[in-house]
Amino acid sequence: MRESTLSPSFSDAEITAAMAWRERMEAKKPDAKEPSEAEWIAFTEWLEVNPRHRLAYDIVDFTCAETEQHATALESALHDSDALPPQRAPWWALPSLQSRRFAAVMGIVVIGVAAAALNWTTGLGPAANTPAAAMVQTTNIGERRDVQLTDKTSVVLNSGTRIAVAYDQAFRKVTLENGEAFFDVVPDASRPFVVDLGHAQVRVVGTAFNILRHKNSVTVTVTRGAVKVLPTAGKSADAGFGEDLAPGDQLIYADGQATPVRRKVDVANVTAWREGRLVFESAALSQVVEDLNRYYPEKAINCDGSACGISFTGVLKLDGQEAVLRRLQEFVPVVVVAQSDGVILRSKPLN
Amino acid sequence: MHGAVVAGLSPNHGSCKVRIVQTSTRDLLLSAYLGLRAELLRFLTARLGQPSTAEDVYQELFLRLQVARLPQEIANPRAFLFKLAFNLANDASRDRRRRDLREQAWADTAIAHVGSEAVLDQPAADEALEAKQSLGILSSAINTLPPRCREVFKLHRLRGMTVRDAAAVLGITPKAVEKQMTAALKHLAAALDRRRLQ
Repeated sequence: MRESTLSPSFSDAEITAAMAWRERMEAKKPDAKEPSEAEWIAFTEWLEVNPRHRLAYDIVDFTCAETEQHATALESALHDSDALPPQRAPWWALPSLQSRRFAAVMGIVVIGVAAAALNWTTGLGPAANTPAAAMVQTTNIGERRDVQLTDKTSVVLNSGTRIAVAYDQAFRKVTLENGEAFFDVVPDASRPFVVDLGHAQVRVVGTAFNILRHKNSVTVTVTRGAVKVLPTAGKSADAGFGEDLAPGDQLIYADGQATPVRRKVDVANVTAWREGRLVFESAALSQVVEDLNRYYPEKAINCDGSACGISFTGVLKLDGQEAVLRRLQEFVPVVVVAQSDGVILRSKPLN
Repeated sequence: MHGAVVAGLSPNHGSCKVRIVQTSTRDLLLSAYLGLRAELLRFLTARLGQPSTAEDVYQELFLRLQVARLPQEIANPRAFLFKLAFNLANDASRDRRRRDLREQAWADTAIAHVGSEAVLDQPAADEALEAKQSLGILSSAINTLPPRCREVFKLHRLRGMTVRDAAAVLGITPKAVEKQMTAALKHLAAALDRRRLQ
């Protein structure tokens, strides 16, 4: 049966990843350990992340299998073949260390006992040198996207956000590299959900929360369930260390700040971005401007002197940048002045 | 045979007795097979694309387990079953591609096109058929690789040199070897894929 659509042309990165996975899972090199169950699951997840991964893997596997099968014939057919004998048997042609008969019957290489046991007891998934098991999701400035992870956990990515998802047997791990995301985590007590935030991590079982990682600070807001925020360095998981958050709690971690700031907030306001709105309550205009700049790539917005301190309460609909600025002018006494590198908000002169 | 050793004290004699409980590797694998159904089907579907094909391979795996010569000891039956499923899936997917290439090659050779009409020509000559199957496609694709890329491919892929050795022979960095390998594979994969989908 033929694929119904034409195969896409693949990027170098896709081909490289498929080659790395194949080499790892085939484990035919003399010193290779057989993959652990966690690695098989990671491989499954990599294949599932994007249908292109399966197609890339499929054609890479076929190409490699065919070249392996016809290696001698292919070499002799090379135009500039200098007919040197091979220095040693290719690694994929070496006999397996154990039962060759069995390998012939089943077409497999028998698992090394010690190696498999070792992989099994660590149970923490692929070793550091296995190919990127992480799936990366990104949004552009101004883009918002819903993502569903393999365990049905949903993540809403706000503008300019990048996450990397790496699930294994022990943990469901997501790294929020930059931006803002809302997580609604499916409960699984045996596999905690961990969000890595660089200098802190958030650990939950099943709950919903919002995280903003912007410049050098991290803001965690809980809408449902319980969340634990731990500093990554030092005695992270020790009892009494870290912050427990309940619904309505917000924790702001800033780089270089000894203790995080903790407060109660209206969670609906914090997560209104999911519906394309920003809600401000007595926010300084400098903060409003900083938030707006996360959504619009076209022109940088700045505020000037006294305008920065103006307090703003209201809801801004996140449509076009110009429309937002026009509406903002109706709420606060500022004028928008165009500049070469963006726009600046200045206090309106009093007449 | 795989045996579990159970040591216990005999109440009558007070001496230490060792009893051997026989559990065959096959039983061990068969019970793991049933317990791992969901995970294996998920993996096979991810690898093969079609849930129905995945189901076929899962069934096939059961048949193979009945008759296969098994090693005496399997440290991790679950990982072992994944590997078996992986190998069967690879066979299924490679067979399908080979069959596609063969059918396509036969159709190309045996049927001449007159205008828009396909007319049955004479039976395909073996060489003509072969040229249109993987070996022929790969060999001409390799010969159109840029020289440096072809050298890297020859040493690493056809002669099985390690990346490091190939780099040393050619006087380039291991990183460069990997880059060339990616380029070569991309080129060959495209040649095979294009052929199949024509």
